[in-house]
Parts: sequence; structure tokens; C-alpha cells
Amino acid sequence: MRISLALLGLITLAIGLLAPAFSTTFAWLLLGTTFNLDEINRPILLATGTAWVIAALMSGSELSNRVKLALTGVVLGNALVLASGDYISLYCGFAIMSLSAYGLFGQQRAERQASFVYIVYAMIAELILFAGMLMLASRGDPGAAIPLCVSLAVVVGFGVKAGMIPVHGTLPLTYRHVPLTAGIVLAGAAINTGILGWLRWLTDVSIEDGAAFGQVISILGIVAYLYAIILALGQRHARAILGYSSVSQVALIMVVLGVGLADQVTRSDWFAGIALMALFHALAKTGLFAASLGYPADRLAKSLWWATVIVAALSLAGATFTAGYLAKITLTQATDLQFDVVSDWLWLSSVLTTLVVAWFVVRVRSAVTVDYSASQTWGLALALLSLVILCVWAVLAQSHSLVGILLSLVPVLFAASLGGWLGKQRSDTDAVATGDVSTFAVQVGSRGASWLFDLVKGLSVKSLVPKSMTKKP
Amino acid sequence: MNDGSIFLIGILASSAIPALIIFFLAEESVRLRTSLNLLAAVLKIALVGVLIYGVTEGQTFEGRWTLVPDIDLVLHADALSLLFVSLSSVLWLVTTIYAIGYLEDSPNRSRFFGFFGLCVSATVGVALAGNLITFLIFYELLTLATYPLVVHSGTAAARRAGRIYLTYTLGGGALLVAGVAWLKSMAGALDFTATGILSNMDTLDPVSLQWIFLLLMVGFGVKAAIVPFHGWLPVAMVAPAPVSSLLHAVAVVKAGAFGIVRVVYEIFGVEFASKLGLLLPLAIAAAVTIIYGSVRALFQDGIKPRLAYSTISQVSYIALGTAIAGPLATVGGLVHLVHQGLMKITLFFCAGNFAETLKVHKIREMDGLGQRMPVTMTAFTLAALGMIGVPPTAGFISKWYLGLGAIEASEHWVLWVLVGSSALNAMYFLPMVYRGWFKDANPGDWQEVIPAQRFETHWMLLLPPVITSVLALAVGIFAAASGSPLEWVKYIAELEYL
Repeated sequence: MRISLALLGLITLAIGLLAPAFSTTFAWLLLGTTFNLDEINRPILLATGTAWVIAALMSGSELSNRVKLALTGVVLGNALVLASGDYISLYCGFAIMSLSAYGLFGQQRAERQASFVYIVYAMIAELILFAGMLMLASRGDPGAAIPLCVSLAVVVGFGVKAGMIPVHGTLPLTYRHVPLTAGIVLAGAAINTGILGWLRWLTDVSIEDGAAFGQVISILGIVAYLYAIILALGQRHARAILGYSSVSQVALIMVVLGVGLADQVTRSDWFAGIALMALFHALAKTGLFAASLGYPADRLAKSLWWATVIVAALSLAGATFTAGYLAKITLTQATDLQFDVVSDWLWLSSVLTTLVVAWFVVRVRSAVTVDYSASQTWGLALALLSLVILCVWAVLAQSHSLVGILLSLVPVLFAASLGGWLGKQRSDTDAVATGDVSTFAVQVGSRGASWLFDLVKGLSVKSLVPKSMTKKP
Repeated sequence: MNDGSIFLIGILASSAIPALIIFFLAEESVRLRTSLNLLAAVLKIALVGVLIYGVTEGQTFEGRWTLVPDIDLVLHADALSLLFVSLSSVLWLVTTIYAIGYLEDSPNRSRFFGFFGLCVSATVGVALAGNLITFLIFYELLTLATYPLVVHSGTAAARRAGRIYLTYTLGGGALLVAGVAWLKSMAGALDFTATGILSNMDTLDPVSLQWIFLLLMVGFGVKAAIVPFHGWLPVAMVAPAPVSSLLHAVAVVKAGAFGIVRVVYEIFGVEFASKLGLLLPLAIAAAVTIIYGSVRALFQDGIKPRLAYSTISQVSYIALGTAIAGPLATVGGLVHLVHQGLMKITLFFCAGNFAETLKVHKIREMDGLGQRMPVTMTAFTLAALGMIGVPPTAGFISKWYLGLGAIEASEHWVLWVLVGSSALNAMYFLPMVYRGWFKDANPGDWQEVIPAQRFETHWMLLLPPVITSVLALAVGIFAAASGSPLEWVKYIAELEYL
């Protein structure tokens, strides 16, 4: 399993780095399948390949046969989503991945509850996407605007996997309740399939009331960001914190998505920017997830651990010399355009994002130290290397002043010191249950369904007939 | 008699003659009976293969014999009949293998396999019928041939199921005879013709045609288990698993659905039927059946009863596709004839394996089955996911085309039916899959009737669900490949909408 996952990751990386753009169709496969490589899926291929290799390296002996089988399904489905250039194969990969991921959960009580919430949302997403895809595919005139309900179906359907608020709850639940290897595959690779779904299905379509719809998505993104940060700080489990951190980062992507949806002319440029943001986020999250194994006991691993966490935090916060800075530029342009204001609020986002990572560090360090195996140390090293390579690329891509670099560190340092204060909070109880409104909605829904089930069962014709009449003489 | 007609008779005889011989074989002649059964099934597939080749090469296969003046018995091979005849022939072979394993050491096997063969002959007759009269004859023969299979075990429950089955099907048959006779008196010869025969007859009274359509639909609706004529199907679950497979996937319900298809497309013509306002009520009946069957399935705690209500729901996809005027819906409905057959027969084979191997009949007893019977449980899972419509299984392809057809015909409400049905399917199939793979077995739930040795159960019970589940997956993954059921059905749809 480890070797095949690592090999598949290396092949994916090689394709992402070296293969020229292409598009090829297999008419006999499914209903005619197109595979392609372009500026949208190339960055996501790079992130996915890296995550798979690191996941393979971080893998211990904790995986049962069932988890291995489920992970195989997740990876294959993910690969199909990445390569697909048509509606059906993307949906097919998405479905294979979503259903397979159910097998990643353990069978303890909390894990079973989490898996139930997960499968309910996964099935709802599948059905919403099925209806949305039918409407998209059956447009008589490809130039005609798609109804708002279809755009909404696509955004929400893929949003479940991407961790979009308000259908985000399965993300932190999943991160918390699956094994580390599976978590890296989900946090560093699978999350991007939701984002890729948005980009692929909505690139070339005209959207009814696109400007208003886009603005709503952007506003929702900003609100969702703040909401996710608050919830992240309310978690005690390190991987649940990472889950909400992902939700918050996807919320920022939603801001840019909204701008792209609002304007069909510049949409492909915005979407290319989103693909890069997805790459930066996924690599940072892969590194952090690898670090969630625990605080290392030995010196080398400890150094690598700190370096990985710090560079990942700086990148997520958008410090000037990191790749995250490029994402921040895209975000700044998007907010300027969408809301017609200078985006000073992004300074605040740097503080809050770093604060969440600092909180993650506090929670990991509060647990017992862990002996990293050689391959796990290599996993950390590779995570760090991938982040550093991105930093070098980002430095080369932009010109920076020393003052600018120092200024960009201010919010990060401020947040890190706040994190130190947070570390004094000793409670081990989550301030907010992981999964928040999603878990609550499923609980209410399942109780309602159970009540309805009992009600209908009790309403059989036999129950209306007096027992004395049905007794045999 | 021309070569074509002799060939068609040969296809019918390939199962009928061995069946008649088997009736006279002694119970102990196991090897001879098994050889005859398998040889006949393989021979039929070979003959059907030649028939398909001949038709695609442009040859005509038709036989016409006068029964009484003005009434002909007609056998004819066209694109639609080939779809059904190839499905029933292939599934007959796997069901025969399964039945041989299933009934090993049980009494009255000669009687069983005799009627089994006659049942398939009648089904092939239904598929190859060239006019409505011939269809009716084989349709009623099918009723008579399946009754002994339903009551095969001879228990009180089986006899009761048989009585209910006969009451429903003969009642439906009587209405069908009335409808066919009325139509015959109005329209003359009732040969199946692409795009229909009635649209060219301007003088026919539309109200009479509406009544006739109702009679025919009720007649076929009984076997197709359309609500409220579905009552016999869950009761008939007492029959052995191979018979259930035959009823649900190969012969009986499919004959009913096929009758609806023939009447709508090749007697009335889909556009003429739409003009008469006949299709919307049919679509509504099908939609109600789809949802009703799924809801009732939710409340069953036995494996076979749940599958039975699932059949009631799923077979109506065929009627729904037929009732939506438009080539895409036609493709969705017709291809489900094949897809549902593959998926449902897999599920019944698996249910039979659970019962025969471990005496597992209830859903609550399925806990941990994946550990003990991983191959059967994998086949069950694939078929269940197909029923839900998860890609890339066969069920997804059907639902995709039905959805596209609904939008093409501006019948957007059908989308909600499809989505609702998929959700309900997930609600009653996923818990079964969950129990099988994720829960631990409860001590005392199982009785090891067939101990695990080289395989998890008898190989003749294991091979058929493996074959059919792989086929159910393959027809989805390679849906657009030439020669696939989908491509064949697209060709049929082109003919019906000339």
C-alpha cells in the first residue's frame, strides 16, 4: 500500500511537472471520457502528488485492511477527478472517492457517529450534483445562462467536499476521526477535488444573475472565514483544528470564486488563481497534518517539525517571501474588485490564520511526545522541502523590499504570541462540538426520520382493525 | 417455412425440447439432467449470437403461421426483441448454473428444471413475438409455466403464494385478452411496427383507444408490478432463490415491462400515444410505483422482501422511460431493462447464497457477512450501489438518460422522482452494506450449512453473482463501447423516432 501510494504520488508529480498540456478522449469509456492537463489541474496535480508521497512516508502500521481498501478507492477516485475533463468522469471519480472515504472511519462510538454524519452529507452532495449535472449537460443552447438553482447545486454539491460553510461539518469530523495517512490524503489532496469541481463545471457557463450570486458567495466567504476561525479556536483536538483551518482557507477561496462567478470574461483568470491558492493551501496543510502525528522526541525530527510548522504558518498567513503571499495578492485584488474597498482586513486574516496554527502547535505539544520513524522523518523533510521550493518560486516571482518582508512578519509574530497565551488554557473539552451545525442538522434530521419511520410503521391498515376482529375463533 | 422462421423456432426449441425431456428423467439422473440444462442454455446463447449477427448484417428473420383465419402467429427478430432475448438467454445460463447448485440434493428437480426450461421458452417467445396476439399467447404460457416454480416447495406459504400469483396474473391476463380482442376488432392485424400502427388509422375512435390502452396497461401492469397491481410479487418471495431471480430479473416482471414497451412504441406509437394523452397517466403511475416501492422496501426486515419491493420500484423505471416522449428517456427506460436485470439477479443470487450457506434471511443477521463471505458481499455491494445509481455502475447510466429525457421533454418533476428514489435506495441498501462490512457477526445468527472450504460457498452458487455483478459494472464502465446495451438501445430509439 505504502509503495503503491508513493509511486502513484511520484507519477502524479512527474505528470504535473513535466507533461505538456494535452486533452485526449476515450469514446468507449463511460459515456465518452476526456482526460486533460491544463493550467487548472496542473497545480492541483502537484499538490496531490506531494500529499500522496508524504502520506505514504508518514504511514505507520496503523492501517487495517479495510482502511487500506478504502484508501485505494479514495486515491483512485481522486485521480479520476484530477484527470477528468468532462462532467461524467469527474462526477464518477467524485462518487468513488466520497463513498470509499466512508471506510476510513474506525468503529468506536465517536467514529461511528462521525461516519454517519459524513455519509449523510456525502449522499446529499451526490444527489445535488446529479441533478445539477443533468441540468448542465442538457442545456439546449450552451450559451444560455444556467438557472441560479443549478449554480447553487454545483457550488453546494462540491462545497461539501471542499468544506464550504454551511456544509463544511464533515471536514473537521473526518480529519479528526480517520488515521493519519488517510487524513493527509484527504487534507492535502481530496479537499481539492471539491474546488476542482467548481472550477471545471463553472468555467465556461453563463450564470443567471451571476453578479449578485458571485457577490453573495464572496460575502459568505468572508463571514465563513471568521466563523471557521472562531470554531477552530474552540477545538481541543489538533486535527479538528486543522479541519477548521481548512474550512477557513476555503472560505477565502470562496471570496475569489465569487468574483470569478460574477464575471464570465475574466473568470478563467480568477479560476487559475484559485488553482494556485489550492496548491499553496494543500501543501501547507499536508505539512501541518504530517506534524499532527505528535511532537517529536528526537532532535532532528524536532527541528524539521518546527521548521515545517513555521513555514506552513507563514505561508498560510501570506508572509511576503512565501507562496501564500501570491495567494494574498489574488485575494486582495478579488476583494478590491468585489467590494470596491482597499482590503485592510487581510492584515487581520494573517493574524487570525497564524493564531489558529499557533493553537494547533499548543495542542500538539500538550500531548505526549512521539518517536518518529525514519520514513516519518523523511515525510516531514519532504513536506518542508515542498514548502521551501514554493517559497523560492514565490521570491523569484515577485520583487520584495526588506521593509515589506519585515512588515509582513508583524501580524504573524503578534498571533504567535497570542498563541502562547492560549497555551495556558488547560481545558480538554471542545468549546464547540466538532462538526458544529452539520452534526446538529444530521442529529435533528435522523431523529425526525426515525420518528416518521415509527409513525408510518404504526399506521398500517392492520393497526386500525380491532384485535378482537383479527383473532381466529 | 423459410430459413429465418426455422431458426427462430430453433431458438424456442433449444429450451423447450430439453425441458420436455427433463420432465421424464429420473431424479437420480443428475449428470444427464445437468448436461442437458447447461447444453441447452449454451446452445441458446450461441443461436442468439448468430441471430444478432444476422440481423446486424441485414438479414430478415420472420415466421408467420395462420392460427385461425385472420389471426397469425408471428415470430420476428428486430432490434427490440434482440435486446430482450439476449438478456434472457444470458441470464438463463447463469440462473441454470445457480439453480443446479442451489437445488443439489433437493427433491423434484426434474419437475423444477422442466418448468424452468418452459418458462424460459415462453419468455423467449414473448421477446420474439411479432404481433400482439403472439405476444399474448406466450405471455399467458409464461404465467402457466411459472406457477409450478412458485409453489415448488409445496409448503402452505408456497401454495398460498401460488394462488395469489395466479389470481393476479390470470386476472391481468383476462383484461389483456379483452383489450387485445377489442383492438383487433378495430384495427385488424396487430403486427409490431417501429413508430406504431395506429397513428395512420384516422378513423379510430380516440375514446375507445384510451380504454383499450387502459386495459392493456393494467394487463401488463400486473406482471410489471405497477401499483396497485403489485401485491403478488412480495408474496411470491417464498419461492426458491433461482425462481425469485427468474421472476424479478429475467422473465415475469420483464415480460410485463416489455409488453408496455411494445404497446406504446410499436402499436400506438409514442407520439400518437402522447397525442391521445395516454403517456402522462402512465408516467404518474410509474412514478408513484417507484416511490411507493422504495418506501415499502425501507420497512422490510427480511432480505428478500426488501429486494422484492425494490423490484417493484426499479422495474417502473422502464415504464417511466417509456411514458416520457423523447428519445433520451426511451434510451433510459429500455437500457434499464438490461441493467435492472443484471443488478437485481445479482442481489437475489447473493440473498440466496446468504440463506443457503448460513441460513441468513433477515437484514439484522447480515452483520459481519463481509468477513465470512467477502466475494458474495462484494457482488451484493456492487449491485446495491448500482441500484442507488452510483457511477460507474449500470444503474447510473439508466438514471442519467432518464433524467436527460425528462429535461428534454420538459418533465422536470421526474428529476425529483429520480433524486427521491435514489435517496430512498441509499436509505435501504446502504444499511445492508454497512452491516455486512462494518459490523461484527453476532454469535448464533448463522448456521454453517455449507462450510467454507476452498470457496466461501458452493462454487455453483458463487460463480453466477460474480459474473452478473462484473457484467453490471462493465455495462456501466463501457457504456459507450460499440455493442454495449446502451449503444444497442440508442439504435432502437432512433428507429422509434423516425
